Amino acid sequence: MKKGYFGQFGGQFIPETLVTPLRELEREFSRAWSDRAFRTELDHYLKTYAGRPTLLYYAGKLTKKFGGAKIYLKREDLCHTGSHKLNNTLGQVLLARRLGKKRVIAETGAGQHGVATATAAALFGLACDVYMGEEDVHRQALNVFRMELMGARVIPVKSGSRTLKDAINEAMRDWVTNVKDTFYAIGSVMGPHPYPLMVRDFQSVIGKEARKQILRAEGKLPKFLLACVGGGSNSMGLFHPFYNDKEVKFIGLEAAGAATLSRGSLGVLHGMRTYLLQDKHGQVASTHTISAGLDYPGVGPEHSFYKDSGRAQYLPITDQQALAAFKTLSELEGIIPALESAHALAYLPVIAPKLRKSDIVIACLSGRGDKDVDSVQAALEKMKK
Amino acid sequence: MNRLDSTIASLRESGRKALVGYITAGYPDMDSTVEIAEIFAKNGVDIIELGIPFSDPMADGPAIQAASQYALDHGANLNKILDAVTRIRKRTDVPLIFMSYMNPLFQGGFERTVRAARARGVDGFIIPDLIPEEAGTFSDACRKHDASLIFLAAPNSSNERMEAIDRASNGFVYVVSLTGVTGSRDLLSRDLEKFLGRTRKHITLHPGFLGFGISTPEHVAQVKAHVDGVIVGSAFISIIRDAENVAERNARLIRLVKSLRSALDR
Repeated sequence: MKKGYFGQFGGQFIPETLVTPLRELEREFSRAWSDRAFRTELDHYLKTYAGRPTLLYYAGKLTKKFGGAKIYLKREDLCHTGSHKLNNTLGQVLLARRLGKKRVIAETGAGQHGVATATAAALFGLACDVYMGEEDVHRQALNVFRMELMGARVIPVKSGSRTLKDAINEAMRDWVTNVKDTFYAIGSVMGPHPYPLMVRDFQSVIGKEARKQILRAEGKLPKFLLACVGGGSNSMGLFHPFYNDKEVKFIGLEAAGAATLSRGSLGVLHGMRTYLLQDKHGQVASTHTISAGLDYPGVGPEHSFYKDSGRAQYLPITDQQALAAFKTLSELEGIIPALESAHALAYLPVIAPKLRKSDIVIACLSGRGDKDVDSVQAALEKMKK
Repeated sequence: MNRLDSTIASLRESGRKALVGYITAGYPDMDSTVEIAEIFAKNGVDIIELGIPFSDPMADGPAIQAASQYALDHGANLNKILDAVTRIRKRTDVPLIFMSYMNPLFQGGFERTVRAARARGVDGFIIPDLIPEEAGTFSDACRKHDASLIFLAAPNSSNERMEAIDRASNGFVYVVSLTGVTGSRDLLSRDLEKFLGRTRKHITLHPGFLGFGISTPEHVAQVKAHVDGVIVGSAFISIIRDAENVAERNARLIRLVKSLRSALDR
């Protein structure tokens, strides 16, 4: 495979100004990843600060309700800051420090990656600016306040569709301008090489733990892994360590209003060649879902590769299905999931009843839902009317 | 040999410095694009860059972002821009370069895009999110259809990269004045001079034209000794945006073109 590519996907479609910092990043990441001191330090923070390993919880009542496979939840919602995003930002901010950068920038949709970046920046004493679409600033006000509490500056993005894709454009423009002292912490397995690979490696801790945990608990591997896909970092983090376990099937659940892999076509955006939602003229579409974290018209290139090679299957979930799953998990298990994660849970009623009672399904509960309660309340009331 | 090659050759022969003018195609409408192209050609612009608007122009500053969005909102697309090129070609032989991002050029396939553009009279492409390492199929299509593919060099490009960019480019090399996005601003003279000194040493096969941030005759006077030409874009877009009416717009465009031209020729 060509360097920086997953099949025909990935690459570096970037302004010349970013070539030098991307080379530097690629070199430094590869050194750090094989440097025992770096790995020990990262593991230390993952364990003592982020709270890893996160639990693999057997959801007995969900299992009973759907009457089929045993359902396990990988509890990334229990990770510090409330989602899997910190796995990646601890890694990237440690790298930023290693590179001598004084400032990190990030884009954020739901605000979870912004919060995780602000957290790591506070911990390691770096300045932090987070770009967030103006529309998301309104619908995720709680996360905006959390970032500000930790000393980050949240910059509302007023261009384009005012959501995640535009926040990424703005972060890229900042990076091109301040490339000398600024590190861009991308929040998903997307962007130009080496980001998709690097973020995947940082997030692989999810799947590595889950694999060990399920073998310990059940003595065998699951039949299915379920995870939501926006950019695709929690799903790739869960899937990748199971890549060679061919009997384990991967299902990525997309928001129906941003179903890049289910409905997209090949294109180039944000430095990568991948599937995109776009019109026939190559203009990128605006997406609409209740879940800000999945509101992205592109997807990580490795997912595009998984789709084409058939290693994973990707299916759309509607807002209604996600809301129903959000309620079910809250009522039955006493766990309020993030709306993003609810998309993965929404496939359980479809898949679990079709399987044997001895089969296992692991769903990634990528984040907790506190940030979403206002949107959910509003949506449920609207549905009543 | 396309029109760009001929123009570059004759600029070289006469020792004249090039003035490259950028406008976003379809901003505010296609008739204006055709009219402004003619104004540019008649008043001293040597090469015209036509921006194909893209929804996500990550290398552009606020002026060109807004112009692109406006053009898209009012229905601009590649087919309509190609029709505008046909109309421009009835009025002038000035070299026309498409400036766009990968995605709008990719739809329908690069080969088809390049062939169609050449057939209508486009001479080359500048693609700010394409580096030589990734150019493969696009570069092949350009070679096949005698279109010039122009790459960009940045202040943080190493000497070796500048040489590679020079080798990969056709026509000229687009020298980016600063790390940043397009748009008018003050130029940092000391860093820039050092950088331009490097481009002189390492970009030797093709002329180097300086763009990003150049908007006034003063800027031109400041840099012209170190470059073979200048590229001006956002300054024209601002005039188009701010003018009260077409007559005022055209008068101001002519005035700026002429003043840039005379600063270059002085």
